[in-house]
Amino acid sequence: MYDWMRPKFPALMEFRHTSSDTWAYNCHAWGVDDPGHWWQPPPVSGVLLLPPGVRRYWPAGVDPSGTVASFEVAFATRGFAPCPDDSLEPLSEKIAIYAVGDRATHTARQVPSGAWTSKLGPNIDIEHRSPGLLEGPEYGQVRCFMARSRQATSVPQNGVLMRWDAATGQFTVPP
Amino acid sequence: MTRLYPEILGDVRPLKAHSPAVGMGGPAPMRLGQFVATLSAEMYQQTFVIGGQQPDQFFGPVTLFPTFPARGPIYLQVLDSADLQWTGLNAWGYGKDLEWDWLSGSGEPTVDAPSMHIHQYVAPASQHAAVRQRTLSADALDNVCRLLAELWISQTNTESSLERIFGHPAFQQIVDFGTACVPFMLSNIDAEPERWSVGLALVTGERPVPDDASAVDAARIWKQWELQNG
Repeated sequence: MYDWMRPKFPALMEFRHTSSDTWAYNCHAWGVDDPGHWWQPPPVSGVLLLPPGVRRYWPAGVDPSGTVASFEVAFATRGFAPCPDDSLEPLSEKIAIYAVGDRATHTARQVPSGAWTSKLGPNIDIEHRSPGLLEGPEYGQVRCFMARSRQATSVPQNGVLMRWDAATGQFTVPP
Repeated sequence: MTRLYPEILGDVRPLKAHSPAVGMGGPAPMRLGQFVATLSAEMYQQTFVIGGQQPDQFFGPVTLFPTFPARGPIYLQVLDSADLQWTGLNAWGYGKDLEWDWLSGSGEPTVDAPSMHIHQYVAPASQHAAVRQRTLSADALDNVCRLLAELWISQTNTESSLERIFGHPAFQQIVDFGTACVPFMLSNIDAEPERWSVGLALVTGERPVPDDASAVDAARIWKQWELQNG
């Protein structure tokens, strides 16, 4: 079931599967706790046909280039400002922006426990222990952290813990 | 050197047995089928060749992709050569560690890329020609679409950009087949309504699904559309 995850996230040895897959929102929307939208800059040219059920959103007036800087500005509209690291601060809610080159690929959000929650494109939500565990060929590297005052944002349910089992070559539920 | 022979790929689904093909250096045995391999992280640093069982065998036409995966499945689609004119499989490859073999024709590497990317994209033109000329059977087209779809979904199932999901070359290739691939899309719309609703809208030019429709509704509407227009 999770075979596709291993090559994309080679550092991820354990995660919690916290939601079913959905196209209702993407990782950037989940990062700022906006599960009713798919945060996506408008196309530079042409028309972007939207899949059914997808409501695209991008803050008005924000650079649509999709770079890390453009996402920083977009997230600033929701109260986030750059911060130095991913340390857990009880009064802060942090997000991590990943990038390949200068292209922002992913956003993860820290939950009150100190773990991080990520929506994987149109796929599932997972909870992982640190932002670095999703670094790799798919999302590149964490490029910056941002923080805002902690709000009553969505916290994923406990979900199902999955752990990589080298013997079987699969993610399995640990005993 | 590791050779990824069909026997060890574990997923060989021949379309037919051997068939003569016109290729480089004249007729040569051509193994028909679909060969699916997976590059694991452990294999990145290995040198390997994808090929037939004999050095003089070659695959062709082969479906490759401009954004050939640095990981995940490799799809090699060998079509029925009787349906297609051999157009010459040009040099292709990926990765600095990939040994070039007879696939290139010359046996010499022509690309020394530090990362894994395909540098030439040969097959689609011949496939498109076959579709246009109605020489590609429905089953073969369905197979091609299925392989392309598997690749597309596997490479975009964690992608957060809609432009990148629907701009993926494997999806674009399916769309380029035009209305010939409508049956394939409709047969898969229940499983992936978001993806194939977009595909159907692109190839048919029709927009029967209201903007506020759910994915389930979209699938139902497209199936109704098929009954009315199929």
